[in-house]
Amino acid sequence: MSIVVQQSGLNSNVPAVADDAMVSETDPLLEVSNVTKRFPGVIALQDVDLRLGHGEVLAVIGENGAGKSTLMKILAGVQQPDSGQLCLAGESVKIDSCRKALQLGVVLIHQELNLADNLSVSANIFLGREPRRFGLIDDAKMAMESQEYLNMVGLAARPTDLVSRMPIGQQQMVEIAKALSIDARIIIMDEPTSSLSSRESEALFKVIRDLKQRGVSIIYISHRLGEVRKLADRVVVLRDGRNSGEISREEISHDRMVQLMVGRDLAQFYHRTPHTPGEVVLDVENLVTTSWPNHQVSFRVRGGEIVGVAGLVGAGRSELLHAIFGIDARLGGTVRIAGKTVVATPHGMINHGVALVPEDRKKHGVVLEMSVQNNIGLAGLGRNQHWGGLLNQRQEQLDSTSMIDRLQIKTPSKNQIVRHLSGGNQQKVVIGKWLTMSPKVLLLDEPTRGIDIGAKQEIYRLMEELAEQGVAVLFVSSELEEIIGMSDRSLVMHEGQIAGELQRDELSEVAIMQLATAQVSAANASPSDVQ
Amino acid sequence: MNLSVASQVLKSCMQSRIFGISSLLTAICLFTMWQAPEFAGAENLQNTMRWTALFGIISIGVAFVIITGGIDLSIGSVIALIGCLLAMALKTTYVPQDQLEIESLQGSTLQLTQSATDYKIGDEIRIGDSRYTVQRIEGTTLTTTEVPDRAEVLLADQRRSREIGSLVRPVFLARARHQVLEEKPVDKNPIRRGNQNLYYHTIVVAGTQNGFREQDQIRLDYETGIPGEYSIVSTAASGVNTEFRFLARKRNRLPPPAGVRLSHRTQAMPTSLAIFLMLGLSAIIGLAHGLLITKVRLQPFIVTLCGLLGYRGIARFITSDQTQGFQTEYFQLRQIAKGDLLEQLTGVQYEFGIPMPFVFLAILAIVASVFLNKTIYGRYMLALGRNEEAARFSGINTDRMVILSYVICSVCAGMGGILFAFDLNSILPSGHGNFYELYAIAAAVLGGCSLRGGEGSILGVVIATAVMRVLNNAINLIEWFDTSMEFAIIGLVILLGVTADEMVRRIVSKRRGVPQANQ
Repeated sequence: MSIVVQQSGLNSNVPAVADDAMVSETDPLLEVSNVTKRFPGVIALQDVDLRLGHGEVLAVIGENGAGKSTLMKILAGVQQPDSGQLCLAGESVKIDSCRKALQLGVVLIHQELNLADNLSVSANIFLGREPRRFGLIDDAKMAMESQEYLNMVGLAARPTDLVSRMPIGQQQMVEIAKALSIDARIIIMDEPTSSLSSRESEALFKVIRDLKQRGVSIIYISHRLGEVRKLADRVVVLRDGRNSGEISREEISHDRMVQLMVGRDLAQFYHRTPHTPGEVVLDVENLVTTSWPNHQVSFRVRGGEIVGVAGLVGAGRSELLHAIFGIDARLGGTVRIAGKTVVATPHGMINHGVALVPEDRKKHGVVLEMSVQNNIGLAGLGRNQHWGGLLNQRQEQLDSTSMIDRLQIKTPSKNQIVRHLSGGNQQKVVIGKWLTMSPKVLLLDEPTRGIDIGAKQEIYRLMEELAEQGVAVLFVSSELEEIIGMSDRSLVMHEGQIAGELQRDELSEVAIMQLATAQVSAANASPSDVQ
Repeated sequence: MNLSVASQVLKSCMQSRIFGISSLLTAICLFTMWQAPEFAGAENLQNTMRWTALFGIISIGVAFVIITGGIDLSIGSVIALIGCLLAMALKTTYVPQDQLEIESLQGSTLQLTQSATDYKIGDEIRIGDSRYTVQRIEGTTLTTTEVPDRAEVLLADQRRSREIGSLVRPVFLARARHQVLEEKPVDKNPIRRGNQNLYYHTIVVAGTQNGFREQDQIRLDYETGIPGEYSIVSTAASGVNTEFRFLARKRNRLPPPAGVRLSHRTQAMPTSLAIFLMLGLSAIIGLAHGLLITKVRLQPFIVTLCGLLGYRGIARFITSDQTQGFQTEYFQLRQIAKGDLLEQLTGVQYEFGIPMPFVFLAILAIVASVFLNKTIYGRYMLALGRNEEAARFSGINTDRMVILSYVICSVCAGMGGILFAFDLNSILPSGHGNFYELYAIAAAVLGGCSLRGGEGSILGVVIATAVMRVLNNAINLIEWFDTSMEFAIIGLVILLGVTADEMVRRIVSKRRGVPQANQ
C-alpha cells in the first residue's frame, strides 16, 4: 500500500517545459479567454477566463454544475467551445481532439481513472505509443523507460506489475507517470483524491509539489477545500458557468472559497443539535465479513444517533455496511434491528426498515438510464404492488413527486433520466428511494462523495432531520471534517476491526488518524461496548 | 433545460424504432407484392402469418432474457428436443385384439407359450413392422410363411438394447381376422379434413367385438392388393354382430373385403400429460440455465451454448437420429398449429382465416407486454438489465428475476417446439430448429432489445419477427432472387436495420439536445 516518494530524480530528467524556457516565466503558459459553451437548453460556460502560469498549481473549484468539467473537457479536446480563445505559451491554439491536446502536452486525469487494468504498468504508460522493434513490442525498452517515469512520481512498483493488483492511489501515480511520459506541460486532475485514503492523498500532494518543481503546471479540481488550501497557488472559482472570483495564495481560506462558490455566506456548515438518543435500533454482534474473516465487529446504534465510521480506505468500512445490509455474505455474527434478528438479505433488511445509500452511486445507487420516478420507486415496488404484482404507478408518482419536493431534487421533471442529473441530485434520488420506505436505520457510505457544497449541506441537514425523527444513522466517511462535524460519536476502523470509539467531545483529526493508523496501543483502543 | 428532454428522447427513440421497423415491414411487403403478386394470396399470407407467429413466440421469450442482459443460444435445440420428445410421447401403436408370446423360434416354426387354438389359418402375425400369415397350427406351434431371418431382424430391431443374448421370449403379435357381413350405404355428406372430402362408411362385422372406441383401428383385408386401414369413428352392437363406422375417401361402398382385423389404439402417454410434461421440461431447462448463471456464476453465452449442443445431442440419441412425426394421427390436436381461428370456432372453412398460432402469439404478446411494463417483475427485469448491482442494492432478488427470465425463455421455446412439431409433422432430430435461436435473437434486437440489457418492446419484437418471415417469404417468391441468397439477404437487412436505428438514435438525441454530460 505504501508509496515511496523518492527524493532523487529531479535533475535526471529534464522536464518538457525546459524547451520553452525562452518564454518569459511571467507570461502565462495557458490563457483561456471568453470561452462560451452552450448545450441545448443550458449554458455550461459563459465568457470564462482562466490563466495558468508555468509550474503553477491552480485550483478550480465550484459546485457541481458550475462548469468545471466542461472547461476541463475543452482544454483536453473532448469538447469544443462555441466561442472564445485558447492560448498556449503565447500562441493561439485550437484543441479539436484529445490527440491534439496530448500533442500540445495537455493531459486530463479523470476522476475515474482511464487505465486498462488488465495490462501491466509499462503497457499502460505506453499505451498507443509502444516502442517497437521489428514490428513487435519492445518490452525491455518499454520497461526501462517506464521505470524512469515511475521514479519520477516516486512509485515503488515494477513496470511489469498488473495495474489491477495495485491500490487506487498507486494507479493514480501510474496515470501521472503516463502523463509525464508524453511530456505533459499541463496536467489536469479531476477530483484526484476522491477515492484515496489520507496517506495516499499525502503522497499525491508530494508528487504534485515535485511536478511543480519541474515546471509542470497543474490544474487541480477538488471539492475538498482543505486540500485546496494546502496545495493551490491560486484558486479560480466558477459558479453557474461564469467566473465567480479568484483567490491568491495568501487569501485562500475556507470561508472565502465557500462564499464564492455558493454566492452566499455559510454561517454554519455542520449544523448539529444534540438530542437524547432512544432505544438501540441497530445491534451488530460479532459480525465477520468476508474481507476480514479473522475479525469480529460489534457495536450498537440508538435511534436518533448519528454515528460516523472513520478509517482509511481498505479498513473494511464499506464491507461492514454491506455485510450488515446483507449484500455481501457474512461469515458469522448477528444483526438485530429493534431487538429482532434479521435474515441477512437486502430484502429482509429493507423489510425491517434498514436502508443503505451505497458509496458507488452510479454503480450501486441508481439505474442511470431509468427516470427519477422509477429510481425513487424501485425499492418500494414490492411493497406497493397491487394483486398479482401489478405496478402501483400512482403510488410511485406520489412518492417521487413528494421526494423531489422534500429533497429539492433539481430535475426538470420526474421523468428525467437520472444520468443527466448532477452527482448531488443523483445522490438525493438514492436517498429519496429510501425515504419512501420510512427507514429506521439509515446506512450511508460516503454520502457526500463527489457532491457540491450546496448539496452536501442539504444532505447533512437531512441526516440531522432524520436523527431528530428517531432514525439511527450510521455513516462512513473519509472526510475527517465530515466525521467530526456530523457524528454524535465515531467508530474508527483499522484493518477490519473497530480500533476505537470517540465521543463527540473527543473527536479531532489527530485522535481519529491515530486510531485509524493504529498508532494507539491496542489496550487503549479496544472496542468498547457502546451503550 | 426544457422539460424532461432525455426521457422524451428515450420514449421517442422507442416510438421511432417501432415506426421504423413498421415502415420496413410495409416496404418489404409492398415490394414483394409488386414483384410477386402471389404474396398477397390468402394461402401465402396465412402461411406467413403462421410462421411469424411461431417465430414470434420464441422471439418474445428470448426478448426477456436479453432484457435482463443475458442471451439464450439453446432455443433451436430445445425446439428439436421438445419436438422429438413430444412425438415419442404421443407415439401411437395399434395393438391387435389378441397377442401371443413366443417360446422359441426355429425356421418358420414358432413355439408359443399358450395354446394357439383361437387362431385360424390366414391370421396375421406381426413381428415389428413385418407381417406374416399363419399357415399351419399344431397345439402351441404355429408355422408361418417365410420367417427366414427372423432372428436377424429382431437383432436389428433391438440393437440398441444390447441384449442380443436374452431375446428368448420376445412378444409376437398376431391378430385374428373377422368376417365382414355387409357394408351399409355410404353417408353422402362429406366431412372436410384439410383439403380432402371424407365420407362415413359403416361395416357390419360378425360376432361381438367389445371394447373398441373412437380412433381404434379397423383394417380391411383383400385377397389381393393393399389392405385399407381406417380409424374407427364409432361402434354399435347390431344383434350378435357389431357395426363399425369410419371415414374413408371413397364416396361409394368399398369393395367387399376378405375380412377385417381390429386393433386397439394406444398412446405412449395421454395427450394433456405429454404437453404438460413438455412444458414442464422446458421450464426445468430454463431453471437449470438460470441457476447455473446466477448461482454458479457462469456466463449465459457458455451455459446456453452447452445447451445448444447438449439438447441437440440428446434429441439425436433418443431418436436414433430417426425422423419423428405424428403421421396421420392427432388431426384435431394439430389444428392448434395448423388450423385457423374462425374454422375452429364456427366449423366452417373460410377463404381467409386467422392461423391459430397467431392467436396464441397475440395472447402471449399482450400478456408479455403487461408483464414487462405493468408489473413489478417486469420493472425489476428492466432495472437489473441496466444495472444489476443497483437493483440488488434496492433489495430486489435479482437472481430470482434472472432465473425467471430464462424459465420464460425456455418455456416459450418449448411452446414453440410443440407448435413447430405439430405444424411440420416431420422432425429431423439433427436439423429441426437449427438457427432458430439466431432468428429469435435477431428479431429481438431488430425489434428494439439492446444486448446491453434493460431495454425492449414486445410490439417491436413481434413486428421484427414479421419482417424476417416476410423477407424469407419474399426471397422464395421473387423469381430473380436466388434462394441460396437467403441468409446473406437476411443478414444484410438486419445489419441495415440496426445501423439505421443507431443513426436515428444519435440524430434524435443530438436534435433534442441532451448534454453529453452534466458536470
